[in-house]
Amino acid sequence: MAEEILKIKALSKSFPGVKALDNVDFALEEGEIRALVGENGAGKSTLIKILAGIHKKSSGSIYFKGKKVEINEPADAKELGLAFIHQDVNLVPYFNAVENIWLGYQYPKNNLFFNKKKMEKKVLELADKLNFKFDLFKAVSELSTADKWLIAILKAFMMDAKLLVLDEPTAALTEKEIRELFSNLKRIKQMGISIIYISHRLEEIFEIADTVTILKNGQKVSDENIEDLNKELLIKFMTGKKSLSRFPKKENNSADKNTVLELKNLSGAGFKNINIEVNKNEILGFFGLVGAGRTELMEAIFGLRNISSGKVLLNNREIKVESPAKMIDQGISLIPEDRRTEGLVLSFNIKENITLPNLIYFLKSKFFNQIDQKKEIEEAEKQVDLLDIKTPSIKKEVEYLSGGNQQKVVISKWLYRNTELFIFDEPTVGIDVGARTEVYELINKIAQASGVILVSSDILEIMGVCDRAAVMSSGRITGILDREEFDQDKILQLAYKGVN
Amino acid sequence: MQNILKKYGTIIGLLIIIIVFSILRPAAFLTVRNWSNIIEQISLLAIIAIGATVVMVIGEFDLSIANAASFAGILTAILLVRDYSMFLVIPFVLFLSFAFGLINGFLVAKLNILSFITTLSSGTFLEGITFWISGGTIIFSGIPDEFLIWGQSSFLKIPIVIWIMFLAAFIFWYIFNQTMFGRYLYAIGGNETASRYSGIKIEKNKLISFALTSTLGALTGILLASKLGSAHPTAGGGYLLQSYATVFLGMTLFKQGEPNIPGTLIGVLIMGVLANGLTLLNVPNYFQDMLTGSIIIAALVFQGLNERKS
Repeated sequence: MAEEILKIKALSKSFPGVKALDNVDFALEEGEIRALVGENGAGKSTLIKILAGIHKKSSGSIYFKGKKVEINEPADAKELGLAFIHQDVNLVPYFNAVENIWLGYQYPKNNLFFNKKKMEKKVLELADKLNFKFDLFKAVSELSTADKWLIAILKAFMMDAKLLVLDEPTAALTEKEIRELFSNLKRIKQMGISIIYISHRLEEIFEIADTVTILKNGQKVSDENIEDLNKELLIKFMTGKKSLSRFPKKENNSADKNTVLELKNLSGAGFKNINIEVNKNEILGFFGLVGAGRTELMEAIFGLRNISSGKVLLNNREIKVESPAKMIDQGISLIPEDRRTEGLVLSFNIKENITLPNLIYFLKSKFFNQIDQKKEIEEAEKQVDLLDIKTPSIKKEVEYLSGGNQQKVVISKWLYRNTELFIFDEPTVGIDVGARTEVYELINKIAQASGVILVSSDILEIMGVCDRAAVMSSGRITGILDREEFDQDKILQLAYKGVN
Repeated sequence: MQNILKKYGTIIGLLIIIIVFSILRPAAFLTVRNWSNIIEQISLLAIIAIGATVVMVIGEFDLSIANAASFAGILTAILLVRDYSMFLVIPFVLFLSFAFGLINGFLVAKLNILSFITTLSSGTFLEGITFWISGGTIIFSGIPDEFLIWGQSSFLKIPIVIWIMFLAAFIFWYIFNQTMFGRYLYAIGGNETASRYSGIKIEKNKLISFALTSTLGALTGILLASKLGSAHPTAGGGYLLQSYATVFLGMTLFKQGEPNIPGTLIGVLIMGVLANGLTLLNVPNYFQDMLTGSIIIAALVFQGLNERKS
């Protein structure tokens, strides 16, 4: 039996009005990979932030290697050998790996100058020990996201970490990079280092974790061995619902199957010779690896990128693709990949975000350009009710909403006008399982009156939600499958076609 | 208590300043005459600060705003001396400044150059033109008396510059709070990318914003020339820092820290009351500058602390 490295007893944390953690026990052994799962607001990040010394616990105790410890600030956590690696890896982009890894540690010196040789030697030793292979001397900005994670892990080893906490490490990685990361993590585990792994992607948890701790509403639901779990069971633990169809059934098949959008030999930077049709009452999936050109294609259709050749037909009429403003007028709406930077004005409240693209319909007086603020409030409240956006008021800044509710606000921006074609780019990234189902239901409903394109890197999502799926690789469509032909291996093969 | 301080800190600051001066100079400070004096003194600063507010709302700077004021004053004076009617000259100069602002907007929005460096350069260019056409000297002889009514006479016992200030404040308050255009400007300032994805024409709105800013700068310069009865090639220079300082002071009034017209006006009032009170107390000019600088920094530090807490 391995030795216990971390033990948490009856840990609680209250914020004004909320009990974020309620009497949570937790124990971790050396060399164990523990997945920490739960919906948004379940208490995962609170637990981690207490360990990191960012939040102070309200009550309870923490033992590290059998000794009771107090973690009052990040320096205390570092002292113990706890390393935290976050979603957005914080590295200086124009420093190389060696310089980044040494940042925050006493640089070795040669009289007045840094002892570069010594710095490099130490990093090379570490990389060698962990068998990491990438260019240590290239500026970090030129490295892939996967390599950045490796740098962050190396950095953790500089301080002789005993416990690594990884927060959503695969969010921006390709399938191949995820494989590499996982084999690296397994090697680290062999060295007796423990890992706490946080992820929304349940498939991964079954691949990498030994054990799972499930949190819900600040309380621990259960600790489970991975062998005793399956996905349905895990979702049940997380949501507390008896049964949950993750992908709600689409009620469609109305007679109207007119072609809404047709792309003919469309080419531009990042995509080439795209030929495809999208029909009304249909959800067309776009699957591919990161960098396959899906987002580029969608942004081009929406007027954000240049099209070098080919035609775009909307309702069988060729249209000129210009600015997003023009495309919105023509009836194309894009729900972008990154809610916070592309979908929302965070400093605006819910009402102002919902009406932003629709203000033209809210003018009290055209001449004075005046907004009818009463009507604005009424319509925004209607949308909030309709989509079940959870908020105390429509005057709340969207910054303070959860990911799922933010996504609903982004979608509701586009429900006020007639839209022929909806493009959803990764609509469920970073939102919890319950909210995902609601988003799928919404997409199903939207598809009853419009054509829908769903771009996703989650193969199960594509197979669960779409009527047809186009697979892209290196900027080209490598295959289009009907729902009956959906098969995980087949789709993946198409996605890797032409990739070295 | 802390919440009240957070929310109304800037207004409380203004009240404290007023109370202190009232105690120190009761006979001179708290009189109707002194206050109408203060308001008249600050009206020009208010107009140019409203201009600065416009570009600040979209998250940009216009450092050429004071140069536009100087240029407009000089050009107006030159044309008036040559006997052109002021009813032609003033619209013409305002139009020219509007066009100058469009150029700023074009460089920033279409060519994607940082507004800071764009307007620093275009302002320097404009200053060069101003010195060239003026020969570098003050223009005062030959300016017709009728031009002086804007800066020196009253309507219904209230100076015309104050009327113009209130009109400008009302128009831009209306634009920012009631119109689609205003909402678009705040959206662009809040998140330009999300605004583009929402179908807002970023370039067009930025162009108009820069043009409005230059026009308000020019209006200030024209009124200043009328008030002084003369035009100086660097007359507007002092307004640059002051106008942005007032916008920053005003931004502290709101939780989200957005520039806004009531805030800017309160910022202007703080500057005006300070200058007036310190003069009444015979505090030397250089000390006034030091105190003004300190108060602005204090307000910004205060806001920074608030943000970090929330």
